Amino acid sequence: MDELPGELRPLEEELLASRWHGPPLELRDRVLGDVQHQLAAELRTSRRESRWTFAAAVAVSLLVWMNLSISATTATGGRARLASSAAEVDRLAAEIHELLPELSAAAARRQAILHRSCDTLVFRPELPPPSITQDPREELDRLSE
Amino acid sequence: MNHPGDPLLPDLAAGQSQAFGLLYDRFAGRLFGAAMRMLGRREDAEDVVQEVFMAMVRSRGQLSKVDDLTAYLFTALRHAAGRYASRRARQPVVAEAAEEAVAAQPGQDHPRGEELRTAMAALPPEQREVIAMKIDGELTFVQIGRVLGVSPNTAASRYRYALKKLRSALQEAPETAAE
Repeated sequence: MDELPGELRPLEEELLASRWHGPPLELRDRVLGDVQHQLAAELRTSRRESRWTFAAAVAVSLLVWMNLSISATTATGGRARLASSAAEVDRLAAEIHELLPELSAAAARRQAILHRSCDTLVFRPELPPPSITQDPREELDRLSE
Repeated sequence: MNHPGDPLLPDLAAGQSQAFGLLYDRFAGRLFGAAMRMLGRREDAEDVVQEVFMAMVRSRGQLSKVDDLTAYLFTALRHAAGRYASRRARQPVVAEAAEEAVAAQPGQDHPRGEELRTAMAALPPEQREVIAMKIDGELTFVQIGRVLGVSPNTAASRYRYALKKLRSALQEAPETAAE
């Protein structure tokens, strides 16, 4: 493959002898200066981008956390419970202790806390009162007939 | 000259400026020589070498996939030189620039320098680039084949054909001058 016909060899030698003797010295500074400039610019851009990405991630996390907190508070009625829980637990503990004096104060308090927890966890649907469609006396008359 | 899995590639891909300095020291002479042979103008050759290095910086993320750094660099050089040649073809020739171009040709201190330049300029660009890659770039036919997207045998025959054309042009030159 590298075999060149003999008649072309002198021309190849001539071409090899006519080669340019290296690039000008100032080209090195020019090229490498531009390379460094480009690398520094890309580094600055990537740092700026990563800073913005971090800020956006923090903002999104904060929003999600706020949303979940608000949902949790609204759905479980935690706000009302937090406001009155301590006083209510004390009152409930006192009642339990009065009913069951053999329980220690700490055990009564534990029972009060458990009772309150269960109270808030149990789902109690709020049903509308039954509507009276007719007068009861009319209804009794109708049944006795 | 082939450097499969070149040890410089990871540092280049990581964007280390020292690696680009080493790359310049290793390849700039051959790239510049080939660009001079292809374009024939010193300022164009300098711009093309600079463009090759800037392209390397911009596409350094893909360097980990490169097998042959030499072929990769000369492919970039070929594309950049092609762009410069077509840009120059659209521009009007300024007398001063033409004089400067002639003064800074390869082979300026060679006895037949001017004849070689004229004969080279008469070759089609695809033959000029094969000679430039072989003579100035010191590429093997395997590497030239990679750059051109042809087999090594085709690259070798293109080179032989280009040399024959160049020899014919050189033989015809004195007759033309005598006329």
